Amino acid sequence: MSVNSSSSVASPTIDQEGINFLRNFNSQFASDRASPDAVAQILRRALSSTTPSESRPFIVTLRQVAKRDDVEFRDGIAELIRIAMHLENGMLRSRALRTNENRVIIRTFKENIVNLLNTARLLRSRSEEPTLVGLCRFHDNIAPNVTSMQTMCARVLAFAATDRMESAQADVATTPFAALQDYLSTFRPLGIQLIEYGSNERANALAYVRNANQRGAIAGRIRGASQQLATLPEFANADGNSRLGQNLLRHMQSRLHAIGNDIIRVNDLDAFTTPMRHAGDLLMQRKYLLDAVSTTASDEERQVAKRAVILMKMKEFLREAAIHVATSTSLSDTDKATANRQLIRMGLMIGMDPTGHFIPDCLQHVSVSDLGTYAEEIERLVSSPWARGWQQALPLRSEIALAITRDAPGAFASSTQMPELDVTVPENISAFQFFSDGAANDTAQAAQSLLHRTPTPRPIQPPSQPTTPQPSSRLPTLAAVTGGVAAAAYSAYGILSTPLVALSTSASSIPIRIAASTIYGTAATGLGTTLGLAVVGGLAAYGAARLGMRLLGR
Amino acid sequence: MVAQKEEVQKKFFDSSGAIVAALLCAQDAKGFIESAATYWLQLEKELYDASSPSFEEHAKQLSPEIQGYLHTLHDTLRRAQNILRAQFAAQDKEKKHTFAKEASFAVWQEAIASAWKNMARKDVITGMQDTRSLQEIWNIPWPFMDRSYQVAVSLFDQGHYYDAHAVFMLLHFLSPTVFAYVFGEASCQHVRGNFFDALANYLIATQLEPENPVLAFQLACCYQELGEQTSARLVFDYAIECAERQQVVNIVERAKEKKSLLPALKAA
Repeated sequence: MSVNSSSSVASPTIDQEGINFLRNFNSQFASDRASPDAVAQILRRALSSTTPSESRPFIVTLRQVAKRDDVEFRDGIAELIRIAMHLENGMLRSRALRTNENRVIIRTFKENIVNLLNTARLLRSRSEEPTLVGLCRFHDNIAPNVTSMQTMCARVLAFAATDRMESAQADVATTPFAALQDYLSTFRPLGIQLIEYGSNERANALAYVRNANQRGAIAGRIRGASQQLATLPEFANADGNSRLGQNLLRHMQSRLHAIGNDIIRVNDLDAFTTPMRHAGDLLMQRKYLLDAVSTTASDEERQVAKRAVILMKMKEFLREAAIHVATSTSLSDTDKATANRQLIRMGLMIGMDPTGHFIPDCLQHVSVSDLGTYAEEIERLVSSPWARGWQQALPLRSEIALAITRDAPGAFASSTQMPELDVTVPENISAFQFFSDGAANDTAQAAQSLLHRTPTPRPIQPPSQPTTPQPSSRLPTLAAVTGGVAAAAYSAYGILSTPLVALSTSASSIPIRIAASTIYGTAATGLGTTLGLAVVGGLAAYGAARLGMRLLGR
Repeated sequence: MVAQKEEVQKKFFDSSGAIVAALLCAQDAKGFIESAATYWLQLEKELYDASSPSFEEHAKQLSPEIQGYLHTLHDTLRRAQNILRAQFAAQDKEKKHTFAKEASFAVWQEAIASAWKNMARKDVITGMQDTRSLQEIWNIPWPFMDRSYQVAVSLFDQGHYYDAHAVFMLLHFLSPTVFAYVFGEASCQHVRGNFFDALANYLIATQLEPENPVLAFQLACCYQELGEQTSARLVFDYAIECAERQQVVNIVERAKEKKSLLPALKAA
C-alpha cells in the first residue's frame, strides 16, 4: 500500500461502474455502515482497474490499518486521494459523465477523505508526536509532477499533519486549483516541524533541503564544520570539554540558517544539539550528518556513518518504548520493572553509558553482525508481554530492519543470539529517564511549580531602584543591564570568560541583583526596551552577536 | 561618540517593538524583513569603526544572520497563532468550559487586523515610539491572554515544549512584564536543551522577580550546562539564600546537591 510504489496504484477508469463505486462508498460511509469488509471490498474493486474479480488484497480496511499503523494509514489516505484524482480527471474528460450529480458525488467523496483525516488526527493525538514519514513519501512522490489537484491534496495533508484541520477542510471545500506557491509556502513550515521530530524526520527534512539545488553549498558548510569538530583535541575528551564542540555546532547552525533562508528556514537545528551534551553523542551526530549530506565521503566513512544512523535509530526506538512504558496505565508494576530493565540493558548494549549517552568510541566496536543481533533483540523486546498493544512499535521496528537490510545486507543472516554481556543496569532510574535525559525532566518539574502558581498572571511592577535615577540615564542603564545579559550570553562564544564576575565588581553584589536593580529601577519598562532586550538576546543567540554587542556599547 | 551610541541604541530599542509588532500581524513578511534588516544595518553602520573588514563586507555577512533571525521570529509567531486557533477550536468543540467572548480567537484576529491597518499608514519601523505593551496598544483583553496562557501551560505539561515555547513567546512579546510568560518561554528553551537562549530569558525574568529561588536555581543550572562554573556557583549560592529565606526546602536541597557536583575551584 505504499505510496512510493507506483505499480500498486491502478488507474481506475471512470465509467458508470466507478460512479456506482463512489455512490456506494459515500452512502455507506455516511451511514456509518461501512463495515471493514465492505470498505475493503469497495477499495479493492476501485483499484482493480478493469477486472474487479481479480482484485488483489490491497487493504484490510482503512480503519483497521489506521489503528494498527499511522504511517500506513496516511499512505492509505494518499491512495484514496489518488483515486479521487483519477476519477475526477476521468470525469472531466468524459462529457457524458460530467453531470452535476457526479460532481456532487466526487465532492462528497472528498469530504469523506477529510473525515478520514480527522480520524487520523484523533489517532495521532494519542501518541506523543505525529508521524510524518508518510507525508514526506507522499510529497516525494508527487513533487516531480505537481498538478493542481495534487497541490490541493498536498495542502490538505500538510494542514492535517500540522493539526490545522480547519484549513484542511477549507481547502477541500473550496477550489482545488491552488497555486503551486501556496503549496510550497504550506510545506515549508512543515520542514521546520520535521526537524523537531525524530531522526527519521530530520533526515527527511535534510533531504528536502538538499534537493533544492543547494546541496553542494550546504554539504560543504556542514562538512567543514564537521571536520573542524573532528580535528579538535578537546573534542575527543568526553566530559567538560564538549562546550567548544557545542559552540562550533552553534556556528554551523547559524551558517545553515543563512544558507537555508531561500529554500527552507531550518528553524530549529537545536534538536541536533540537544542530545549532544556528551562527546559520544556529538560524534554520532557528526556521522549522522555526514551520511545525510556528504557527497564526497569515502566508502569507509559512509560505512561508519551508516552504522551510526542505525544505532541512532535504535536509540530512538528504545526511547519510544520507554515513553510507552512510562505512560502506560495498563501495565502492571512488574511488567514496568521488567521493561525498564530490558530497555536500559539494551541501551547499554548498543554503546550507551549509564547516563544514557553514547560513549565516544562505541562505533569502533560495532560490527555489521552486531547490528543484526541488536535488531533481533529489538524484535524480541517487541514480543515481550509489556509491549503488547504498543502500536507505535511496528513502524519504528520496520524502519530499523529496513535500515539494516539496506545498509548492512546479510546482517540478519550472520547474527546470533545476543550474548549475555556483563553490564550493570543502573538502579533507581526508569528507562524514560535513561533515554530522555533526567536533567530535562527535573527542569520541567521545577518550572511547572511556577507555571501553575496562578492561572492568570499579571504584569509585575519591578523593584524600584534604591538610588534616584537620572532622567538621562535610561539608555546607559539599559546598556549596562543588557550588557549583563549579553555578556553572559556571549561568554558561551568564549568572548568573555567570566562575565558575571566581571560585572559584579564588589564582593557583596550578586549579579542578579545588579541586573534587577538597574533595569527596572529607571522605570524603563516600555515596549521598545523590554522587547528590545528579548530581540537582542535572540540576535545574539542567532549568531548576529556583533550587532548586539556594538549596540550595547561593548 | 557616547551620545551617538545612545541615540542609536534608542533607535534600536524603538524599532524592536515596531518590528515585532509588524511580524505579528504580517502574513507575508519577506519584504518587510528585508527593510527591517536594512534599517538595523544602517544603525550598525553609524557605529562601525573597524577599518577591516570594510563595512560592505561586514554587512554582507551580518545581513543574512539578521534576516534569518527575523524569519525565525516571524515563523514562530505565526505558528503560535495557528496553535492557539486550533486549541481554542478544539476547546470550543469539547464544550467542557464556557469561555467569555473576549477570550475568543476572533477578538485576537480583529485586533491584529486593525493594528496592521494602522501600521500600513505610516513608516512601520521608525513610526512606533509607544512605551506601552503591545497588549495595551492593541487592546487585547486579559481573558484572551489568560486562556492562551493556559494553553501554553497545558502544552508544557504534556511535554510539547516546541509548541508551548511559541505560545509563551507570543505572550511575552505582547506583555513583556508578565513574569510567567518570560519564565515559561525560558523553561521551554531550557528543557529542550537551548541553554543559551534560556539563559537570556531567565536573566530578563530576574528583573521581574529577582528573589525567586526557583528562577535562580534554573538560571544556575543553565550556567552549569554552558560550562560557566564560576557563575553557576555564584547563582546556586544566591538560590540557596533566597530559598532558605522563603523556606523552599526542595530548592535548598537540590541547589546544594547541584553545587556540590561542580568542579572544585582552582586555588588562587
